Amino acid sequence: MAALTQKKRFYISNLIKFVILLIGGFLLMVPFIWMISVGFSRSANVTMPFPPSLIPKDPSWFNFGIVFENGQIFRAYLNSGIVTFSSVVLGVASSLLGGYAFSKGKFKGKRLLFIVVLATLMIPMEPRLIPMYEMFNKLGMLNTFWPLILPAMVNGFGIFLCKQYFDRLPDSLRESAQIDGAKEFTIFFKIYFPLTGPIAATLVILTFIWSWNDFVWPLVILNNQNLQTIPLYLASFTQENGTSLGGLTMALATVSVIPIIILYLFLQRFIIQSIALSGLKGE
Amino acid sequence: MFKSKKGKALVWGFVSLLVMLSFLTGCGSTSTSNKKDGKWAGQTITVQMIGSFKLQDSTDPISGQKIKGLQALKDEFEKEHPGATVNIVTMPWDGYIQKTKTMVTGNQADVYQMPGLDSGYAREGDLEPLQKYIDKDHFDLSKYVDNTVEGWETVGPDGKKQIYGLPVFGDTRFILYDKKIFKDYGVKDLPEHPTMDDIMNAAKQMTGKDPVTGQQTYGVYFNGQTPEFLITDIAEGLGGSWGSGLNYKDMKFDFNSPQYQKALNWLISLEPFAPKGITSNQGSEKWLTKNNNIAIMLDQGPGSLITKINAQGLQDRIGIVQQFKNDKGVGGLFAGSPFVMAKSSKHKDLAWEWIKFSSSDFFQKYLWEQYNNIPVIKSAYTDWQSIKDEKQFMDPILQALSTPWTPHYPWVNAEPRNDLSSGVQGALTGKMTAKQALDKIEQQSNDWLKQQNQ
Repeated sequence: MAALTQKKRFYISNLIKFVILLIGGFLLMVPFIWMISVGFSRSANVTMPFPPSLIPKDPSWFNFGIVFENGQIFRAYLNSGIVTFSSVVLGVASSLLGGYAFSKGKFKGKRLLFIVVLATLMIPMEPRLIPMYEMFNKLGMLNTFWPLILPAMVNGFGIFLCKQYFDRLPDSLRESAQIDGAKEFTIFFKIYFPLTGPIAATLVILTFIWSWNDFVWPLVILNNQNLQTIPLYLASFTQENGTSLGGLTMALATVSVIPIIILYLFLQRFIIQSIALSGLKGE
Repeated sequence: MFKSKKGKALVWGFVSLLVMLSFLTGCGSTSTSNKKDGKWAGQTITVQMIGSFKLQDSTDPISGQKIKGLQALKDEFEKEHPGATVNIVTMPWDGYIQKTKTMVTGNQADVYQMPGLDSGYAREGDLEPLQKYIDKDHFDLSKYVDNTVEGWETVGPDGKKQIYGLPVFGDTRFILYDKKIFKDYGVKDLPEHPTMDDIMNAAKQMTGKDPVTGQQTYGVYFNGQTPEFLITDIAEGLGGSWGSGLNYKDMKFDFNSPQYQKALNWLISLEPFAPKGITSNQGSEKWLTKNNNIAIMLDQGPGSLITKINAQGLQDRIGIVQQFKNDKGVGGLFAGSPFVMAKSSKHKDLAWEWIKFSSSDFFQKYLWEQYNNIPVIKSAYTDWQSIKDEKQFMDPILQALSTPWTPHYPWVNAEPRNDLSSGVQGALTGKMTAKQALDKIEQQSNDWLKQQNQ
């Protein structure tokens, strides 16, 4: 009888947890559901549905039709894909190498250089905008993807994150490999690189999100409409004569956020693991 | 160095990526003219335009009608100017300030649409004065709606006021009201030029339960989050002004004048007749719908107003009257967009041709009929059927367009605008009195001016 009661208690406690998590999950989903709902509302470009409703009163594919009109969005997807993929590959590789060097390397001026890397985090985009623009202008790279990709190679946050991660891996691995005659790159690629899964996954998703959502820098660099990335394409639809186009904006937001959701679904296990390991939670 | 297979694969991966990128990213250059015949043979200009403009044909997100792309303008201009090539660079309103700044810095265009003309581009010598081109061609400026050319005059490097830009499309402010709510309460429609007392009395009467529908209605609405142009218009209606001068060294602010104080106190006393949340621009969600609950809407712009009204079938319900004017009949924000010519343009004559082209019936009708941009040429209001069809709205819009405060407020794209906005917002939320708010705004604006003159 006592065992049954204990079993009952277990079920009830789990049921309560389940209900709480279900409600919490639903609340977190509400903005996404609302975004999709407004995207399907035909009249939301005139006035946003009020009071807000999760099911549109006038469902229509109209806004999604405009999003896919002329096929321009596919070109924007391709452009964003090229920029984001390249930024992720270069950014993650350079962050891992930089983080490894600052963590395990022994060289003169290491602390000073690391402070310089950290200092890059303290300068916001606005004051860097014109000097960077002039630099890429002089290099003849305006209206190309290079200025959007190359800055990803100096990712202060990524280097810091990787250094923290490598600090937690034992130095004895490196020392053993050195005794066996391994060179630095061999040690990195054969010993440490296979252990970087969680931090690399975190960097992939963070760099992906930054690059995919970047607006101001691509805006100033790209003039040709055929080179527009997704955020630029989205911004060209959100207003008409100072009027916010709610329905169209939400339809575009829905379409543009899909790759990020897919990527997150694939990498979420690594991300949670790396947050626990890298001290991002402020351990 | 890379003896392991993984290392080699990684290096080759990088190299392949870089090679692929160099192919993919090199395709962004704009076209140059290869036309060999015609008066303008071999000349190319780049024109920058801000807004929801598309190069290809598209669908209007409000009306659902098909819109012709900017290609139509390009084709017409190139037909009229044999041998010439036009590249049109479009940009959204979001981030247009940064984009314009960098484009001017990098000499990226010959002609710019520049609503922020007062941001210092002319003063810093980035723009070409247009008077000599106007004189050379005996270009008739009287074709433009009154005051729209004067509105864009600004000072150059020599500190003298002159024409650096000519209007492309207009923008203005007026008051709208819901005739149905007025009728339900038995309140007389607003006169063409309502006074502050007219607005206050009507707002008082129509705040409460609508006698016909039983719905809660509010007498008035104004955007308390960005009230800087509204309070300036009210002060102008009372005979005041923001101050004077276009040059920093001659500029004087008058934001704490008795007229501004009276205007702000009036707004504070009007606030109880508006929905809660106006200081965060909340409470007007039902405006321009059949369930509207706002009687009077202050400080409205034309935008896509007519398309919206038509989409909702509210043509007979919405009334439009003028904002507050001073005893000379002048008052309210001057806005819109001019075209300006870059000093660095290599083909200035062709750039001037584009600016002239923008005043043609073809260009203006295109912007009006495809993108609802308000025309700035008089012939639009006398000759075009598409304007006559919307006479009830377009006549008052023309009147508002011809009687704003000019020149353009020189602080529109600078700190004093934010100071004015947040100060008035502070007074509306009860954090300070009208006098305290305006004194603070005046002080902040003068501090900003001192910095500019250092």
